[in-house]
Amino acid sequence: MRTYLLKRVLYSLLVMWGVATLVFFMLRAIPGDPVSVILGEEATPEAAAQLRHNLGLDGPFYVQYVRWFARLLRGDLGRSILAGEQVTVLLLQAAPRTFSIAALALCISLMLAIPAGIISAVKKHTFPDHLATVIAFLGLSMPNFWLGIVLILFFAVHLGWFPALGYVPLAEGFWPWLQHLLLPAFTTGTAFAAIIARMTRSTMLEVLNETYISTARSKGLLERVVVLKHALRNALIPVITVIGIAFSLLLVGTVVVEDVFAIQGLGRTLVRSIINRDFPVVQGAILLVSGIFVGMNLLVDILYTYINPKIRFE
Amino acid sequence: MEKQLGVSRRSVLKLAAVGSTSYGLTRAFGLGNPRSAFAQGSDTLVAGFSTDKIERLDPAILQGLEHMQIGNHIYSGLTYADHNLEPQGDLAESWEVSKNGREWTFQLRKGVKFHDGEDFTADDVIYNYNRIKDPKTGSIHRSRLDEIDTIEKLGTHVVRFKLKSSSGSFLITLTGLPGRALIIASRKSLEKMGAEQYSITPVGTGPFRVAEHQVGTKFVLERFDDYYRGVPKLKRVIIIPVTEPETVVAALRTGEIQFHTQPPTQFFDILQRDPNITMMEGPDTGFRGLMLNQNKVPAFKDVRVRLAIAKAIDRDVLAKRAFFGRVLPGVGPIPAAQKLYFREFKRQISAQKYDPDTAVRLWEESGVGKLKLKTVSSVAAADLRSAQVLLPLISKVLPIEFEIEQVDPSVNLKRFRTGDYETRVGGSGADIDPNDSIRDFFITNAKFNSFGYGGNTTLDTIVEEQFREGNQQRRIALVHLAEDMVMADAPMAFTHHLIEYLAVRKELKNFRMSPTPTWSFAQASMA
Repeated sequence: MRTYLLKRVLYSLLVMWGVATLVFFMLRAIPGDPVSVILGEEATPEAAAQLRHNLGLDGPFYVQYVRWFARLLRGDLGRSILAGEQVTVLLLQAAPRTFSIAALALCISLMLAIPAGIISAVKKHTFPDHLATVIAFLGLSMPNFWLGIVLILFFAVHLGWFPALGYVPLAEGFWPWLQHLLLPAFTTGTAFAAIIARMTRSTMLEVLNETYISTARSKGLLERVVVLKHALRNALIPVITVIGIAFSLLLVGTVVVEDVFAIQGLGRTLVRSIINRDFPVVQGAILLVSGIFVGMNLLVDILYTYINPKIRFE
Repeated sequence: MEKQLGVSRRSVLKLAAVGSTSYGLTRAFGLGNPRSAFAQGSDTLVAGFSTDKIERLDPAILQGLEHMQIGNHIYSGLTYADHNLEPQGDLAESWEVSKNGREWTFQLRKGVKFHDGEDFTADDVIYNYNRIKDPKTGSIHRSRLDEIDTIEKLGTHVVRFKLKSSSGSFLITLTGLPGRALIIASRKSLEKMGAEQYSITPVGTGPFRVAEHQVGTKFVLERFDDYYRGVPKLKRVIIIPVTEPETVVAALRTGEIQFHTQPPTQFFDILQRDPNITMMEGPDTGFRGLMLNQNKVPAFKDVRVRLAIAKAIDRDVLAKRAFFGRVLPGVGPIPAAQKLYFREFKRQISAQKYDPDTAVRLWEESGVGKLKLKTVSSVAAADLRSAQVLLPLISKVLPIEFEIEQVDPSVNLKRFRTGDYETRVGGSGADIDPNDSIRDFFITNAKFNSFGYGGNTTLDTIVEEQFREGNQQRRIALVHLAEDMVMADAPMAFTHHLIEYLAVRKELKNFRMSPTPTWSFAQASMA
């Protein structure tokens, strides 16, 4: 297990380095540059050249790369070209917001999706199954920015139950933190819940047809015990894979929701930085996100062994 | 009952218990009374600004309307522009001008403090002048100080400028408005923090100081108790970037923000119907239109072609379809906010007024035939909508096929500067003086003249003359003459002037609208 983990960690670092390097050169290859954005229409050639020099953007790409990589090895992600703020500070501010939305979205999705999937499978081809299917397809097809706006209109403007925008850190109070996150999290989690519900239904149906389930029933166990203890555990194995990957996708997929709710999270930070060619922020954010992806994959693989003792690492 | 419905009494009771407990919990923990993420007391204003984030507030490179609006609260200049865009004394109490108009001696205000506690003196004026002029600073506003020959300190609070020639707009150059080049930044803080950090948490002499800046999330201003023109009533102003139109409307209606700089025009009716919201309206300080690049399209070298395009535009239809009727159709560069220079009847006399028959005639006389043109437009909704409505209006009259190239901000700006476009939807903003509107764009080698217009020596001469003219009436006449020539030459087809709208909730009192970027919260208070 230890050897396996070590190999996976080294491989992950290699992947992250590859991604960061690719992004570094791609950013400099596409049209547009940050100096134009900073100086705007009033930019004179002299001012642009001076600023490019001050920001270290006037050297050859490979020189810029070596400088950047050397700083990275020291744990320095550089400064935002546009804002002047340390990239680490920007990401440390943004990441908890996105993690909070994604984590809460995941919880809400699982709370809705797994029971729905189980009921759909157990009550196959009945009204509850059809209802769950319709709701799942609605959840998948609704654009989440539209859903977010509708939720704001109804719950914030008309009912006044939740705020329309903003984020309160957890340190400032659990309930204010939750209040500000519920609508964005619900908006984010809806499509994901639909996918999980359908997947749970599908895997449960497969498992419920297994012989050991018939055995369990013939032993006189309660149906509830058969479904929840014997069937669900095996049915969840593929679902957990999807959860792991989906959580990573949620972390970067929240950009639209972050825009709608005016929350400066990772997604919004990354997209705005790409548009404005803020190279250090893009590089730092991509590094962080790729780290999360490979970390999540590793975590999911480890979780497997606990859910199914038959699985061992080679 | 139980067997018919398939639901047990126990289940119903359980559900009812869960429901009422949930409701009780929501009320008990205030879930129904959401606290705003930003509200901090009744003397705090939460203002939404239509920008992604607030960046780079160093006066040397400060640009962009929203940054100018914020900078106006932190910085001061020797003068300020009032709501009529007339220069008034600010850090300068009084001044004398020599007979030849070239020597300006300013008596500076005594007892003024920077936010970091340092005293303001003549040394600060000289420091900031030298900093902007220094090529190593890389200031984009350096050229605005070209008219100054020398600057000297005559006393702790006396400074003299010697100009290369007389000037009709020197006092405007000295306003503290961002972009005017002689904003007074704190030397001590600049040297202590470094330019990078100073850009994030700038220090000036304005009515508010920077208390906190979380880039992208909030920018917190606190009143400056030593402000020389009267301590603001507002204790704090929290500026948050909010750009999504629906979110802006929702936040205004719930009261989570009490002010917004650019309420979305498509939701005006909703906002106007809300009794808690007032939509303030005023003339904007810019012009918009279609730039016609003569360097890229040889046909544009013929003034008949340019004029034909300008005359083919039905500006009333454009205003209605692209902007919901919320802009002022325009035919020239001088905006309505420049009250002394703006002529309401201009639309009737302009060479660019809508006249499709003459447009067709001019086009045929030029012999240019059919044209295929690319138009660069930013991805910003307003510009894109403008292009999508404007170009078909032209194509309806003239045999031109347009293709829109949507580009993001960094590409748009770069292509504008380098003249890499055939036509471009664009214009100007924050023009508080005719020099901003005409001299910066339409003389030969003007700094924003990337569309190859030039060689009209008569226009160049008149523009330089108005630049030097100290007599206001004569200057007005010269500006009108210059504007008429620009309209007739049609280096761009002018389409409209924006109208500035601000959304203000009833809680915000004593806020006075004035042309951007001169408005301020310095006199405002919360109910």
